[in-house]
Amino acid sequence: MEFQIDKKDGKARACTIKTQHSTIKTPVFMPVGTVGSVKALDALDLATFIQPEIILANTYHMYIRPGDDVVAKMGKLHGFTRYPKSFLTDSGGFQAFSLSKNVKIDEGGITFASHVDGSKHYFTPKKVIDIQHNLGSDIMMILDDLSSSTCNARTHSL
Amino acid sequence: MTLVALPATQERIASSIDRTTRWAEESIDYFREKQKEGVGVDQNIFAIIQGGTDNVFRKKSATELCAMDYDGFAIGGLSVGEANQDMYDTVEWTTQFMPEEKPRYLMGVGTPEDLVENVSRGIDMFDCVMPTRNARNGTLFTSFGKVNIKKLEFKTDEGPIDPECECIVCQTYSRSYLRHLFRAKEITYFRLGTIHNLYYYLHLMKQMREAILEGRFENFKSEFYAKRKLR
Repeated sequence: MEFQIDKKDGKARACTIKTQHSTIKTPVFMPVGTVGSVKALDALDLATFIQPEIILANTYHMYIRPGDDVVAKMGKLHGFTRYPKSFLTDSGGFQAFSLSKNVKIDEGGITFASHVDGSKHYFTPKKVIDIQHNLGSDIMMILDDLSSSTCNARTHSL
Repeated sequence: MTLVALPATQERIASSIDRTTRWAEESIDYFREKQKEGVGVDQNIFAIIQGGTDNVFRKKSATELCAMDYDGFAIGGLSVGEANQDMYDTVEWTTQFMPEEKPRYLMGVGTPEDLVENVSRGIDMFDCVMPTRNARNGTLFTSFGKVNIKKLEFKTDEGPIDPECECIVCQTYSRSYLRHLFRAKEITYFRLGTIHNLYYYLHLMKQMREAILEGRFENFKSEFYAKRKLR
């Protein structure tokens, strides 16, 4: 990734980020493509009407369904969704905390039950990197312990 | 947003910050090791600063994480129900411990006002479900503030959602038609509302970038707020 500050005005910054898939001019807002689609739109709509240089996909959702192995086999996020620009993926920790049931956190990671079928899963720092390798995102996020700011994030419906 | 932030105990926050730092060490070692093996060579990795709205914890988390070899840094754990000003203050405080020469990402934020306020505090990247989710609920963003498309006053309104917007929806459809589609729960409404709201958000970012490049960000900010008072 290349990063350069084009101009500063006070504390505000205009920067350029170059990833493998696009050149992102900042400040930038990344539309959320939760399950690999920005809800109600497809890649053609995005390219035609919005033209974002980067969108977000949620690791938790892609891992639970269809599975990061499926995404990897189908050409990772770019090949699977046909959105050719950059993807940022979150670590999945936030949704594991907020969406799933029976969340337990220990020194090694986060145990949770899938919100789809109740199956048990364990996210560790390495595991979420492996998943994001499969997803092929341009920017991945690490697993963090969210409990410092949100003891109870259960009511969030991301 | 319905996320409820409950004040965590000091002790619990401290141990969670420590765990986040340990996980960050484990993560960066693993990520760089994999890259040496040829995996994820074209990928980048960001760490996430935690610590709620507490200055001491934020400084600790930021200092520990920013010493590591990450490609960029995020501020997490905000926009979870705290007061707006607390979010702004936390961002203002935290960015001073983040490197200039790497991207800064504020996770899960926010309203158009939040974007303007946090750009002025040195944030480069944002994400939020607000434009897309609000579109589906009938709330559309305009240069003059939010509009609820289901309102009776739009029944025969021939105007666009936002007279200043250049998106395909504002160039093509009336408020009256969009209100009708919304009330009829037509799938088409979700697509059109989403296109408009995302266009508005991305256009706002472009306007901010241009203002920064031309050294008139403070002017832009004043005009942004002045217009919202017109409605």
